[in-house]
Amino acid sequence: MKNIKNYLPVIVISTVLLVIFVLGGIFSRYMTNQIDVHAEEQAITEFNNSMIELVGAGEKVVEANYTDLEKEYLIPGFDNQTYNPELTASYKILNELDEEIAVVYIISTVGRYDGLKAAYAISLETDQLIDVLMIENNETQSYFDTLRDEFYAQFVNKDLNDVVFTIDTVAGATYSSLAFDTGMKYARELYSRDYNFEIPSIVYEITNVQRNYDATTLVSKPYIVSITYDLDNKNLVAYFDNEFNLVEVISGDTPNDTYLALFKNELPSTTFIDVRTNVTAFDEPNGVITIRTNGYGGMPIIVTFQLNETLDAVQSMSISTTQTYDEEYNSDYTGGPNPAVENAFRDQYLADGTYIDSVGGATITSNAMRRIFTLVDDILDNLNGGGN
Amino acid sequence: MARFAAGKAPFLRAAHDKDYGTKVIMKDFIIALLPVILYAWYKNGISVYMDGNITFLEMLYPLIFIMLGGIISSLMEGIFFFVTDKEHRTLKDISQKLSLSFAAIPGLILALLLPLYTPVWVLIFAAFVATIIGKMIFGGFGHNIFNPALLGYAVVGFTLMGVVNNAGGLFNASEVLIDSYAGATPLGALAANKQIDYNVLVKPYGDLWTFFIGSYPGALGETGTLAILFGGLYLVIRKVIKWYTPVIYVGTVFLLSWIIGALSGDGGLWFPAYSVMTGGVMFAAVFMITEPVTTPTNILGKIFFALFLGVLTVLFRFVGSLPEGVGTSLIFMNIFTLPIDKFTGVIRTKRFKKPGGLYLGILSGLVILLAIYTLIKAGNIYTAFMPFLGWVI
Repeated sequence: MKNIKNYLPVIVISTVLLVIFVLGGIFSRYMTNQIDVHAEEQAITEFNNSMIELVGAGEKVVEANYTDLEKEYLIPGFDNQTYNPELTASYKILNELDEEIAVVYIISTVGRYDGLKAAYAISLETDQLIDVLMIENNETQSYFDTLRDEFYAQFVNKDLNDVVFTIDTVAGATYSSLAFDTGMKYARELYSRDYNFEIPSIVYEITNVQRNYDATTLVSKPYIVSITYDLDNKNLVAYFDNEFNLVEVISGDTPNDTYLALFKNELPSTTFIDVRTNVTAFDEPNGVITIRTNGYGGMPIIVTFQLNETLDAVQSMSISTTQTYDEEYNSDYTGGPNPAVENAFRDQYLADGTYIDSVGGATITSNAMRRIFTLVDDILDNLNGGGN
Repeated sequence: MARFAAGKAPFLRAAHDKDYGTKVIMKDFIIALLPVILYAWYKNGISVYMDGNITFLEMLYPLIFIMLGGIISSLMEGIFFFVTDKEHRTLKDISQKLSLSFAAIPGLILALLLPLYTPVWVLIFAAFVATIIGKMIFGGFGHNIFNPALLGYAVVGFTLMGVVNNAGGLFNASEVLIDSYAGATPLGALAANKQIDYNVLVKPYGDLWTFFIGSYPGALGETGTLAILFGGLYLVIRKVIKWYTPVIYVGTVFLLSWIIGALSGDGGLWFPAYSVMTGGVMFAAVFMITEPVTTPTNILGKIFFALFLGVLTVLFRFVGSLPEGVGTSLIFMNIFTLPIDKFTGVIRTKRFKKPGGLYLGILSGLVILLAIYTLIKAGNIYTAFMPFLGWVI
């Protein structure tokens, strides 16, 4: 007992030191942990402020918890492949009276690559897209940066009642532009579901699309399109160019700009014929015809054919291509480097006029080559009733 | 107890003087620290709380941390007294000894030298180094060679700074949100960018007024120049410290920095002002190099000490592994306190006769050579300086 009393001072001091060690340690660890907590809080605050700033009004942001809906859109550069955009988050913007004045959808779409995430703010008062804000993206930055203020200005106060609800793409960042365009359209679909907004519709039906094989006009007027439109079921047959602009009316009345914009918007996805492959030049006297199509990732393949004197067979051809097959299915492809696939198609075609089915690991490039040869054969057939 | 120093510090000789006794001096010292402590609390606690970036509990932490420094060092000394003095082991005896030993001061200063987010166990370790190794092993209060707080800080700086940084480091909860800081203190920016550029070194943090007030990232007690000056002024008025020691030290750093800036193409006064207001220059000038135990006692010694220290501070900022040069240079100069005291004592008594003149020549020559060397080393960083040196030499 006496011993303990003798050591009491050092026991007391050591105990205090131990208490400091433990409690102080907990406190300092708490302080360190709070750094992350504050960083997260700050990030949320900044994000909420950016949402309010995007809307340009409002006092409060609350999570909306809206869900995705099923709606397929084309993947840019892959004409037959579609995807469903992803709604990653949604927020309601409230005013000082806690009344909802706008909704913000955070939507992930596909541009050149997957994962272009942007916020689309829609006003409940005006049914307008207020603005768009890019959140994050995996695009090639040098191309993506070509999307400047003029591009984003297209989204500002864009009326959801517009029949032609689309934006102009920017050359050099076409896929990224299309990703925003898709996001905007998807936002309108979500808004329609969540707020009973009626998406304006317009009655028209593309009833047929044919290729024009007339030697003198097959470059400038490549498509003959039949359309029934308007509530009065007006019929239109007209020539359209490679960009799907109306060139000449064959029969019927010229539709207004709204309809023309709608046709231009829809024709690229028509299934009547292949509209991805076009004749870009035809020198009939010299028997030279140039055909272009898109291969992997939308990269062009251009083949220039030298026809014989009677214009009923191909004598030779030159190929301009930038395909890189290892980007397609690299583990499956075992052939040589670019342009081995195109050359294989060329050699086979020149040898016996047939097409290779497909080169493993380079399916998209193979399909593109087949489309080119199909078109040149169709043209030869229609020009002279012959073929290779 | 063992005594390493040549003699007890002079103020101990006046321990019974009611106006200048040790207790009075130490009390004044603590009063002088108050503005620094309060500013450190305001900057890292109250203002951050007012910004809405921390909770009330976190707001108290800077003050608690600083107080803990004092408490821990006192407890350490208490244990040391208990272990080493078997005759006086009661709580009353130990308390009495602690009050005479001013045990809390090294811990308080130590806490002020450390970053806000220093883990408490690191503070305890640093306090152990400061109090037990830096002070008590040398014989206790008045006998230590090194500034105890600085020794604790230096050991942490060289061994545990990674731990401190991982725990949060220097930036308070408001400062981490300021993008322009880019995660660097002003001295860190100088060390990283190696260029004398106002836009890089000062502008991200505000302006020179910001540095004067102290609202930029840094250790708890070292940023508040204004608060330190208040404390310094109080100590000068109370005649606890001599005004010329801090003035010569700060002036040397200022002058050398100005020359380096001018030779690198920017002769503006902003760079020397920046140099003296960043890091621990002002804090050391007022609270460390004036400390009577580990610095020379006579006037000439104080002057040479301050001169050497100023030159070394600038030198270590440019050649050392740490952005800060104050701590390293002061620890280094603590070693030479006794020789400087001895040399300058001889100079004062012999005037310019041998060996006084010789000693004066040696000390002056050393200061000048060191200053030139510092300019050359600074020139290694500021390449524009090299051709000029080549031309001169």
